[in-house]
Amino acid sequence: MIALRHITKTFTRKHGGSIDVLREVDLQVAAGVFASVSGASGSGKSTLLLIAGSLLRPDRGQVSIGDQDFTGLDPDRRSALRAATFGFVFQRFHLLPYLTVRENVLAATVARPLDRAAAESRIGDLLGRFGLAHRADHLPAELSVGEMQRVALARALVNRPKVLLADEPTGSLDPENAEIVIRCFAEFAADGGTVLLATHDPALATRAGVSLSLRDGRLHSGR
Amino acid sequence: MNEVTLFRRELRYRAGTFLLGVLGVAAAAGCLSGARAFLAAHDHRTEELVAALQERSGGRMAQLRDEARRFSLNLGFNTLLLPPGQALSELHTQDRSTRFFSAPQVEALAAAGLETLNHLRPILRERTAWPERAREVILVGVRGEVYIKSPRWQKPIEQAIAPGMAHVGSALARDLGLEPGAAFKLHGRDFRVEHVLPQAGEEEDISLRIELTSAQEILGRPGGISGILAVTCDCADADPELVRREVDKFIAGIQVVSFTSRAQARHQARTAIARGTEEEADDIRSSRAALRAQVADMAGILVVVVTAGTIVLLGVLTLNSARERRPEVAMLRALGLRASRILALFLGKALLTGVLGGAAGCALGAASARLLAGPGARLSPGFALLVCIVAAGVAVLASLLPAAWAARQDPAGILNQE
Repeated sequence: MIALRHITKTFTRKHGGSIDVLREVDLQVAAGVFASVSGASGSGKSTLLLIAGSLLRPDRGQVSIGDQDFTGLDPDRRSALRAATFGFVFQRFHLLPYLTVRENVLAATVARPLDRAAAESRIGDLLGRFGLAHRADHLPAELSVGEMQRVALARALVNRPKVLLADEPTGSLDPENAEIVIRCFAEFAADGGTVLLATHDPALATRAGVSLSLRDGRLHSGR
Repeated sequence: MNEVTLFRRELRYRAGTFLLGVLGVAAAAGCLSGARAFLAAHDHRTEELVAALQERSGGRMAQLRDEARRFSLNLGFNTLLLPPGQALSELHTQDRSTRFFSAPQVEALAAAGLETLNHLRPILRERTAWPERAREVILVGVRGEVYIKSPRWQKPIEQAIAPGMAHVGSALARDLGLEPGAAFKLHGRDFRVEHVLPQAGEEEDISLRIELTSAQEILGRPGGISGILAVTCDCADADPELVRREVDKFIAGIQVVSFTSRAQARHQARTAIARGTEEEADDIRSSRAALRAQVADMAGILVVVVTAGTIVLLGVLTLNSARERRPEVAMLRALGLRASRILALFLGKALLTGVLGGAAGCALGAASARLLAGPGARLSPGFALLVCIVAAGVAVLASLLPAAWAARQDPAGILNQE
């Protein structure tokens, strides 16, 4: 289970003033739950996701996985925790342009090496599952947008993370590929994983088991 | 998948930028190693010039030495030892002596193992009447050489004359019609011409040489030796004082007369050539050292300017790379890669750029210098290794700040913006 308690985050503007993006936000998503956070652009959804994924420190509050509070961990231990715990999916995919599809998926194992045979088997499963087996040796520039997001999805899953964090994962996709992604999240949750999805699309938010919305820096139940 | 694979793939993907960096480092390393090789060629050429000069002067000195030796041999001897108290004026104006060496004195000198003199030949020389021919003659009694420094490999310059035999000066022989084998009388004694001496252009041409004892008897000087002819060693060629100091230990007050001005002149010429050669070699060395210093200064400035340019180039390339790779770096951080590993990826690339650029620069610099300055332009492996190490160090230092900036980027900010 991932738990965020009393999370506050304020950004200082370049030309003076500040924005309170998150105010005393409390969020708990249990294992096996697919939760979505919706809200308008700039409402703080991505910030919440990055704090949950240990990529951003809150100004106040705690973030924990199970019993482990990682808010105060040093950067190296947070990196290790990220590699072991989280899978990330972003709207822009962030595939490494010089790696093939297979290598991009394997890139997630650089910080958390897998046994070679196990890695090959896992890669084969994921590429087959997302219809990418025939693209294994292609570079990202040779893929369609939908294929790139599926590669990003495979990369997020290769380490068998406990928590999947997705920020507008279907924002660039056609409905068919968007459906593949959402179905994948649902299956991941059904298998006992935790999914936290940030989206501005109300229709997509309804696909989650738990729907939350973020307004004025505060989290509200439902849409 | 590991970081080495990531490193290799990225390197290949951005090969153009990488090669640009390598070329930048190669330019700086090439300037440095090329200048070094060029200076080595310069030094080599200097030594060649000095060696050629020394060879030329060595040949000239050998020629002079040979001339001096031949001259000494033709002349026979170049030093005359006179008994203490013998007036030179008397000797030259009257051709007779009033002071004589005794036989034991000559024996003592012969046994002394002299260093400065060689080929000691006692003589009795005096102008005397030749009644049978109604004229005067310079009679020289000779005994042969009593001391040869290295008898195992040195031959006598002049052999002893057997009793009853005579060596006749060329002018005297011509005047009297004496030829080898001819018999004649001197003071009632019978002699036969054994040898007519070659023309010397001096008093020798009118002298008559016979065995010493016969001469002592004819001249009424029993046991008398008016002088000792000798040849000085090379070490004392131009310094009769050196000879005098040595022989004076055995015969106090002995006089040393050096009469071979031509031999001395040649010795002085040899000395002058040797000194001149050294001075000219010093001139060559100093003028070329000045030229070398100028070249080194110019090369130094060039190396500093190009190195500074390379540092800026590498810094800009790394900074551009860091900016271009921000999303990639942020994603790698999101995947759990530590900042130190990101830093290592950037610095590893800089290190490789430096090593390859340094090696390429050394090869290019040495080849260019060889092309311009000839085969003397060489680069030692040690120096090439040093250049590679320094190039790698400079490349890493130039990339350090941009690489650190890339590694310390906030991944959340980048991923959020993207």
